[in-house]
Amino acid sequence: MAVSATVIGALLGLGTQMYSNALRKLPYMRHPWEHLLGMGLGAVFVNQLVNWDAQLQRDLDNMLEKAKAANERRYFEFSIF
Amino acid sequence: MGTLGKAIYTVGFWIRETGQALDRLGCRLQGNYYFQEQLSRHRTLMNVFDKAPIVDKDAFVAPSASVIGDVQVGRSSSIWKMKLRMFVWYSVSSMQQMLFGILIINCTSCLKDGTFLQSISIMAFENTSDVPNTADVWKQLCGDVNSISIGSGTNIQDNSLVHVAKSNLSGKVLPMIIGSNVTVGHSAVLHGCTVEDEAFVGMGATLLDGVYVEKHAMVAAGALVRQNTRIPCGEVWGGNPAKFLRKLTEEEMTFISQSALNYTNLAQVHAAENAKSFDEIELETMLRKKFARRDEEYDSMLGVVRETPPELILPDNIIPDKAPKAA
Repeated sequence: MAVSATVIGALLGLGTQMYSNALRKLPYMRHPWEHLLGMGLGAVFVNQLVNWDAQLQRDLDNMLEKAKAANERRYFEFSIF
Repeated sequence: MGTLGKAIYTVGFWIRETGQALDRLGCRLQGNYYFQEQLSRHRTLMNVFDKAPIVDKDAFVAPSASVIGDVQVGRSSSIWKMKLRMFVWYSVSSMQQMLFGILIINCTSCLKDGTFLQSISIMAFENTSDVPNTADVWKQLCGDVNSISIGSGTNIQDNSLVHVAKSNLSGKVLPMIIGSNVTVGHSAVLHGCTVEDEAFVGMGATLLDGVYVEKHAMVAAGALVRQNTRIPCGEVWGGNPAKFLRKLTEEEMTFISQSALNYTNLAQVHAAENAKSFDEIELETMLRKKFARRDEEYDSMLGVVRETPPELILPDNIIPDKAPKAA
């Protein structure tokens, strides 16, 4: 999971850097060291994104759980009548 | 070069670029900004990927000439200087257009005292990658699309252009073949044609694609020879378009080979001069100043006898009778 996220992130970073060069009508691989930097940033970004997404999912589940409990409480309180 | 070779070449380019960037960073940290000095990147012999020129070690190529791509130069041939050439390289840098006006006043301009300036060495550019890939700039020039082969004892004089095109009217891409002992005069333009041994191309002549100049034939100065013309042995063609003018005399035919020999000898002298180091040139300049020729009468009045130091005596094999017989 982490490996594929890193690979995807590296490709994303590389692609962005090449796109940025292409927009400026420079050769694709101008300043080749910037591509490495881009790959690193991309890998970190995608990994963080995955982590954040997982965390978000967990938080959301928690909140849904709470909401469900509240609803059930309300339902049971309501059904007592 | 296959795809793998090109891939290695490209990766090598990236690594070298990075290395240069690190080097520049180091220079900046040390506070020396010499790398920003812009000097001509002219190279006499230049390859386009794996198509490197093959020049015989006895051939003379002037330091300001450019031999690019798939070119072969035979024994004791000579390629003479390009006098002055101006390039303007445009490149789009981040956000703004930058203009690199690079004036190449290249070397080998004969200095007053007869010495030759050495070729300027090339330093790192600050923006190596801003300047378009030199191979791209030169792609149209010379043997990048097809091969050029030059035989032995041939001389291609100053300001000439020998070229093969990527495309032409007839759609054929022809190699350029120049035989042995050919004399190609100044500012001639030879384009995808064949010139046989001991032919003569006059100054300022233009030979278009598919021209075939036979042995001992002559193209007069300023002629424009149209596509696919064949100039038979022993004839002179001239004008625009080139037409048959007259037959060559025996004398003129022998002159052609003599001319080639003269140039071979002259090239040796130039090659020897060009091989001198900066210190040797400085020494000779000093000696020339010291031993500058005075009026003989003035010298004799003073009773001064001046002898030329051996460094200043040029080899005299330029003179035909004194030339060593060509093997």
